[in-house]
Amino acid sequence: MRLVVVMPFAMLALAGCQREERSLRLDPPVEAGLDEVRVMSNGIGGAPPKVYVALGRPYENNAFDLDQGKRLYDWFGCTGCHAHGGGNTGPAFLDGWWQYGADPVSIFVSIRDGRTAGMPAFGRYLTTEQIWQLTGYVQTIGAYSAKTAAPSRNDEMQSRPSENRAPATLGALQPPSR
Amino acid sequence: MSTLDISSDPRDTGLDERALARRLADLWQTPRGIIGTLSSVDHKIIGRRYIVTAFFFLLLGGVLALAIRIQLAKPENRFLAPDLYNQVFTVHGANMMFLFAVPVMEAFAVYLVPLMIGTRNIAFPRLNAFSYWIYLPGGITLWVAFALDMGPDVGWFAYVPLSGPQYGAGKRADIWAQMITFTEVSALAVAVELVVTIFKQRAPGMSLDKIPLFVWSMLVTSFLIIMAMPAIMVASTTLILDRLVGTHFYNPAEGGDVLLWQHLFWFFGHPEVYIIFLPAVGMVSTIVSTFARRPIFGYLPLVLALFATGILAFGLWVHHMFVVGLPRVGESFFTASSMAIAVPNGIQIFCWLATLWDGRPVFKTPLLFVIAFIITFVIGGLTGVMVASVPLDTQVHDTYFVVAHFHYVLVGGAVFPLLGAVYYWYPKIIGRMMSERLGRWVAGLVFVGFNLTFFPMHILGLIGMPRRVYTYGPEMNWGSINLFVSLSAAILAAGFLLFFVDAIRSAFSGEPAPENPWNAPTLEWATSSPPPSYNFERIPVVSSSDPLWETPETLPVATGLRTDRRELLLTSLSEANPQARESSPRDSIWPFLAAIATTVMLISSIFSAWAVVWGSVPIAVTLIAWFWPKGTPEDAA
Amino acid sequence: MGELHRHPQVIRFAAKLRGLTLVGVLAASSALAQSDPGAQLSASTSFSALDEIGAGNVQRLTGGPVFATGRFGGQAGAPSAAGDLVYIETGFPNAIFALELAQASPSVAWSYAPEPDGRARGLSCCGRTEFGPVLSGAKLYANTLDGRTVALDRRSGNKFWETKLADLSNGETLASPPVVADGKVLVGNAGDEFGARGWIAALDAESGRILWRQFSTGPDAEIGIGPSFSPFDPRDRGTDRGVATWPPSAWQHGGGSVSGRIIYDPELRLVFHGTGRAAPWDAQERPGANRWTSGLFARDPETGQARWFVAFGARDPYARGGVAQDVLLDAPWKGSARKLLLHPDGNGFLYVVDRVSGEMLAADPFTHTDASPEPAGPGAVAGPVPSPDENVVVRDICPAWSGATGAGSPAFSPRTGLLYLPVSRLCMDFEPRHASYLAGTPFIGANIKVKPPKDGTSGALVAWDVQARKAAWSMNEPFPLAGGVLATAGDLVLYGTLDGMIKARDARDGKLLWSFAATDGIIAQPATFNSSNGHQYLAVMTGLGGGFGIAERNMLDPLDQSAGLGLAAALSRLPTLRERSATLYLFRLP
Repeated sequence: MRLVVVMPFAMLALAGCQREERSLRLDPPVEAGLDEVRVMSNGIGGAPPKVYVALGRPYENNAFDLDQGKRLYDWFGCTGCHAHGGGNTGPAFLDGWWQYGADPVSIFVSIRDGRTAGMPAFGRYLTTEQIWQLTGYVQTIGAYSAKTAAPSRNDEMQSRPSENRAPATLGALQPPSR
Repeated sequence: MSTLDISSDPRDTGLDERALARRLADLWQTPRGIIGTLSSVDHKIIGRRYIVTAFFFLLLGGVLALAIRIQLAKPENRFLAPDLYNQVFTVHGANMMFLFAVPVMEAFAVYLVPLMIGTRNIAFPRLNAFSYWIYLPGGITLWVAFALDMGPDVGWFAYVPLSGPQYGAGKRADIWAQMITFTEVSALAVAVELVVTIFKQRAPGMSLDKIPLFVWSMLVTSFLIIMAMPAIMVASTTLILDRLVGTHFYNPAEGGDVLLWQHLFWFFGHPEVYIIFLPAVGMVSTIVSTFARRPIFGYLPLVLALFATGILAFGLWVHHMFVVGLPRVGESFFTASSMAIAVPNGIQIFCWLATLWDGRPVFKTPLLFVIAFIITFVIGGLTGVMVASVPLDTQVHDTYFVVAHFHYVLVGGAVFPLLGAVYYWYPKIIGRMMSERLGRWVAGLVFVGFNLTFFPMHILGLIGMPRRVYTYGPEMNWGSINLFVSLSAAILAAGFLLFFVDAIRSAFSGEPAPENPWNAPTLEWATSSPPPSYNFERIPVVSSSDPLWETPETLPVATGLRTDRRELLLTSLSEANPQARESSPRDSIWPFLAAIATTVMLISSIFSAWAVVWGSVPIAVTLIAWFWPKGTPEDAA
Repeated sequence: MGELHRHPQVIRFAAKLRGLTLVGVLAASSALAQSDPGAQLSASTSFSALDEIGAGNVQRLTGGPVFATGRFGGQAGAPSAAGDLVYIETGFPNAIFALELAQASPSVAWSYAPEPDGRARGLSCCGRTEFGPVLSGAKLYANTLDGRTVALDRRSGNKFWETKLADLSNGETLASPPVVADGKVLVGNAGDEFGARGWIAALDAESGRILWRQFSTGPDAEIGIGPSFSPFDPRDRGTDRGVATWPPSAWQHGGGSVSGRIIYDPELRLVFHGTGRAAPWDAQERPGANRWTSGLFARDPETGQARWFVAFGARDPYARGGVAQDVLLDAPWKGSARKLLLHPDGNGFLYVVDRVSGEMLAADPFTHTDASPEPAGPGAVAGPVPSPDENVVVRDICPAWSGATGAGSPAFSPRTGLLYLPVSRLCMDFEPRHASYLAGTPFIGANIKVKPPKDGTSGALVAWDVQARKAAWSMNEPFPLAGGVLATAGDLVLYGTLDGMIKARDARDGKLLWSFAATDGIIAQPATFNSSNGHQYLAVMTGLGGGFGIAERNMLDPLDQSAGLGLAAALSRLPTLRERSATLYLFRLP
């Protein structure tokens, strides 16, 4: 009977197991492997690195990595152009409308190499792991359903609902209204 | 339920002892089987479960402590990774404070208080069952989370902003906060039961000046719990709200306050220390009196000291926060109040020494622990006075000096008396004696091991070693002391291991215990070892604070309680004059089910705020079923 | 008062083109000035001497959209008219159209489409953005957002030269039109939001060669500070104040861009230009006076040497900058005739400066403001200026960072003696945050929420009586006035609004005389000119964009109240407009 009590926790926790892992330092070969995205010729979409898949797509649902991504978002001035997801000179993320694709490879490439419409290349400032962490976080802002691993609000002036409360305002195929 | 023979007179007045025992056993016994086990409302069964569970958590927490000592044994050790180390010290601290120290004290009270005041069961027995079933999943939550690498890693007091939404990634801090909610619900439930039990269910004649000191201490403790625990429940709930819903209780940018957390936490956290320590005072007073072979010296000062400690406990929480930058007046006030608490503690120490001085002490194992306690606690108290002063606290804040200090007062002040209490009451609870020979070894190893382990930490702290660091550089020259500390910890661990071995072995092969092996004066020794399900065949009547010494063979009893339903005798608050017969609820599975429903709601609420809404439905259903009249005789007023 | 004013940029061509019937709004006043030798010369006042359309007949105006550029949004430049051609420069990628207005529907005489550098799109930020071709002789000069100045043949659109001035990789752009002064083309950069050091450069008008470049921060030699420099604030007389008033090396990315209009006074042979806000906006990261940002320089156009400098609001802790457009005016001041410079600042004060000496004569609030006008006046010595702590939210600061005015040009009518100020009444919550400088990425360091004032009217047209130093009248508007104002001799004040209304008010009392609903928002100044048939035309470009239109243009999500540095949410009540192309509207009397 006590098992009945324990089992749901155990299963919940098992599901969250990888979600809560914290890798503080990547092995150099793994980090090098994570840089090997294969991008379509138009710069949109492509195949993630083999290492990324082998690791179980860690940066999309690991709470620590998402949180680190959020920190990098603040530290590297992303808010200057994209605000807190609402956009400024850069496009909004919150609406879930992606100019270069919603997949992590496209986002990764946008951050690493920049885009011709004004996105600077951050590859020279960030490590590959950091770019992946940022990728995961940025994807979370415009995700269509809330992630339980998503970080919550920052200790700062609040300008929008927390990430873990606010999935994208639009559906995948619905263009922004304004 | 077994059928009762109610054809004859329902009162117990005319029954002979054997018939009475049979009827009472039929009436009060917990039925066999899984359902029966889960339905039990017997305070002794629940208290035993509590004690075993709490000691199990002590064992687990001790293992973590050893892991910490292995990691710190040498500079730049790689036994624990930094992230795991954070989890280890957090789970160690949270486990020891919330899953061991407070519950184990309450567990002893749940078991002993009804026996010591001569009643058949604790007040609100179903709530008592519920409190255990809510405590257990709280502990399991913490440890399962830890086992799955999502244990809390923010320190046992989980300061914001570290534990807040911005820096506390994932669900780790939520696990901590919900574990708090579990254990505080359980502690509050027990505190309420104890207050009512002590106020209304004392044996006839047990006026306020005849209440055993352990019961007094639990009364004060219960009031401390009732007044302190809401603060931490507010804190943990608002923390979860901040993290999950995005409220701003601790966000200064939106009008919240980071220091609010520290105030809320320590308004609970400091009384918490006395919630752990005051029961130990009661235990020590009981053991000292028994083994000194004389009534306690200074009964009234001891009771007043309990009250003084309890009141002062709420006036010095800020001394945990001296380095946050307080107004000078505030610092001075809390320095003074922190030092003032040494006065009631001094009175207590004096009374115990006087009792021993004037008595004819018998140095059995429980008394050895008490002596170990007095020595260790005085050292801890002295460092306590030191850190109560702002300049010194500013210097040693968050260093190993503080670690040493609070282990001296918590282990020295509560665990030593607790071990003594286990040796003392084990015969009553289990019905067998623990080994006196092993007990002396345990007392010696634990006392020597403890002091060798924790005394050098004072020095480590003074030469600058901070708390909660997972390692340190060899150039800091902390290596040799740390190695010494870690080796000493092995001695301490050996002592505890021996204690567990003795406790488990004695349960099976210990010498059978008589009713009153220590020739103790209090009422729990007036019934068999272990006590029957109904505690006493007839409710004793007392005329002294040491009833078994005053009238050892012929304890007067009260009669007239019904034997066709569970009945207790209610007495007046101060004089304990009989007032009424009151029914006591029967076994029920619903407290267990209500606890399950509450658990599901609390755990789910880590992931979604809506769980609170939908999770309250099953809780409401189980509560309705819990209180629905079942047509038993107890339902009648 | 009562003198006529003209725009000096167009003096020469106006003189050459006398007799032609199609002249630009600014040229129109020049032409009249030429015809009236007694008129005093002064700088841009956005006043047109045309008076065919006046308070009595404006209700009968007819017209509507005549030419769609096919460019989406962001039309901040007014059309210029010269000869039989009307010139339009669109927002980025800054195409230039020359239109013939012979028929009812205009035809494109030529167009110029530069090869744009798309990176500039991400660098177009926050501040004043205005594009418009400048005509001088046979040439047409224009700046492009991606950092180039081009000189085209006014008749054919052939390119004479093109000079790349701004370094996009440092976040620099060009966001205002050039100015022609004495055979030189003066250009200032934008990009203080990216930490770009502000500069003003002079190009040879014939060859496009860079003659000099002077910065807004750094050592004196790079700023053009020499013996002839005399700043208004005596504390600024030390050496290398552009270095000493900054934390070590912070001046290297200290902002102060020259993103407002540069004004040339041919009589004094001086150019005047504002300097933008200091970078980052978080003032805690730049303790000191942060010279020479958020102020106004007077320079010698020959060498770029600075003559004087006045600062508007020390340290600029709320990032309002100093690039709002000035008006030059020769008028009596306290009994004696002075050469004045009126500077309506983003902080809500109207500064009156003697443009010969750089002496500050007055600072009066023209709208509700929490700012201090510091330095308060001659001889005033200010104490340390408080600036908000990092991570502390200061609520309800007025005006917002976007400024009480500055996005559009004010107009001065010599007939009424009133200065017409397009005012934003937005307020904000401001939280300074730590920012790290990475070249080419935003260097702002602030969380900002912008909100309308309590009464919900975010804008106003304020008519300021320069002599009386108080507002003659003020008309509230539902949205901030982002486009410039045009005053005419017909005693009209004309302007467009963000929600697409073209309005004409009585210059004397502000009464609304006429309005027209366009299908897109307006951030450009209206223009007026005489067409070949001798009748006065009113021309307005629609195309929502710029700082206030950024939500529309970049499809921001107002769910995030910090989107567009707070403007997206503050202006979320703007109607969704159907037209997605910048369009020329023409009106005339029937």
